[in-house]
Amino acid sequence: MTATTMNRVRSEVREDYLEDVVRASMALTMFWGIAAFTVGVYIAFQLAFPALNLGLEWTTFGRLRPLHTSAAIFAFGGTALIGSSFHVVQRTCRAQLFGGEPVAWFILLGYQFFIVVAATGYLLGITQGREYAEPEWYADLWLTLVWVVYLVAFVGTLVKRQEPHIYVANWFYLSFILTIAMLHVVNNLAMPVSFVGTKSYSAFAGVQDALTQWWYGHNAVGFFLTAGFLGMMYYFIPKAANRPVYSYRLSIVHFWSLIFLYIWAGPHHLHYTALPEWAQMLGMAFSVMLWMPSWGGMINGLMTLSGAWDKLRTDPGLRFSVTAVAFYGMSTFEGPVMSIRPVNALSHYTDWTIGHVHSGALGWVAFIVFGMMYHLVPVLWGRKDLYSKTLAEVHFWISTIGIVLYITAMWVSGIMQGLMWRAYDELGFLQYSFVETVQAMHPFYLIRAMGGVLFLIGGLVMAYNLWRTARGDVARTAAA
Amino acid sequence: MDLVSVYPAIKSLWTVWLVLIFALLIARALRPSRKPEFARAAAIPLKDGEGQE
Repeated sequence: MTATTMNRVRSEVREDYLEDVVRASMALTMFWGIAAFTVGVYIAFQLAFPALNLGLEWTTFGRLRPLHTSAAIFAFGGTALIGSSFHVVQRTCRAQLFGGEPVAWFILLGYQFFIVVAATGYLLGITQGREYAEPEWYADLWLTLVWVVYLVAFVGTLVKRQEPHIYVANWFYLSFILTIAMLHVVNNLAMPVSFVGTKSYSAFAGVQDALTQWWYGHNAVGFFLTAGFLGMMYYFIPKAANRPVYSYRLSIVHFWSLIFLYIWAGPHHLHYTALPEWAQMLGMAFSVMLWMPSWGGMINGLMTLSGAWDKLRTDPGLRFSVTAVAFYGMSTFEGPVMSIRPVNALSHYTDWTIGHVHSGALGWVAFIVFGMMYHLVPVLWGRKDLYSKTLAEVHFWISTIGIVLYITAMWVSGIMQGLMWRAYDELGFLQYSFVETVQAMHPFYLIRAMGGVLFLIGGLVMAYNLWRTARGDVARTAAA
Repeated sequence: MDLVSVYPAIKSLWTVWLVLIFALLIARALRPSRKPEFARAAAIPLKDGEGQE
């Protein structure tokens, strides 16, 4: 095939790709990111200064905290996953998204509607009280419908693909869509009190309920926050580095190992509870085994830059992606350590857990999304480059310092908290009252909040940079 | 020995099946003969026309 024919084929195929919906998802991702970081900063200051609860039930920490987690995970992360999966599946299958424009917009906007219904519910005190699954039954039913359409559109695109092989990023995206469907349906099995009311009761009770919740909760981490974003990694790092993935074979081993191991790890959230000890040990053993595929995946992502490390100096987007993979390695090392029962005896219920979650959420999830967006926004809007690479570099450093402040503060605070809780005096009495531990954590709450402020400022810089990029502006330094 | 008494042992056999399926999938991925196929697959994102416009 001649170069001219190739270009013609490419441009013909390109016209078929749905890009408006992906462009909209980028804007929405940025919006939800800023919203999630802002609420996060506010509740971090609430912990340091309780007066910020304002004495109103709508603005208490208890209601704003699920607003923050859902905005970060589901609104920011979920919208980024939906948008990027639409882009990746179309490009790597060389086919338009199954169902066309109406289906794609239904999925994106239907998902946004779910987020708004869920988020406003939290502020009004409507919640199931299930970690990462707080929305009540009516919102859950709506999300089920949207998600099934998403699954059909994704699988439909795979079925009608022009490319003989299904690229590995799509395997990760598909496992994310499929497993989240299963987890969401089972964890949210509930009976509404009335079809015109918001309250429902779970189908589960007692320790079965706890196990169901953490089977869901940990696999939300495994399949939403890990598998989905690994799909992003396996497409956008090779793309930005302009090199194939280091080992395609390793990517397949990575995929199947995660699929077979992750689903068993949930019981590590229930150490020293009413859950039978064998189930706790099972959760711990599978969590420790997860070290291997996680680090295999990290090595695969990092080594893709082998021979192209210089791009880290010139491509700030790629720098975000690669740092994200390093954070992925770090938080998937820390997680198995914390799942070991004696370690968990110290770490559980302390700020150490919060620090661990944020090294994953800020370092891995947010950074891989930032890397994806810095690459994709110029592509989608047909721009040669970003408005300003300098601003992207400012964003990188300000956010990285923010994360380091956050996680180190939480390590010190969490380990101190755990040690204070278990300290005894020579007569066998607890050495510290609970309020003394809270008082001791105050300086670390402030450091954490400042880390969050830096991360938020970085997000605002990024939003400005991407907005100017989409408009087609070029910064004076870049133009010179 | 009746069926009821062997039921728990049979019931737990699915873990063995899962391990076997996993081992087969990994063995299949590791077969040296798949190298050219994997090299082609790894190049998919690099020839998708993105940025060609």
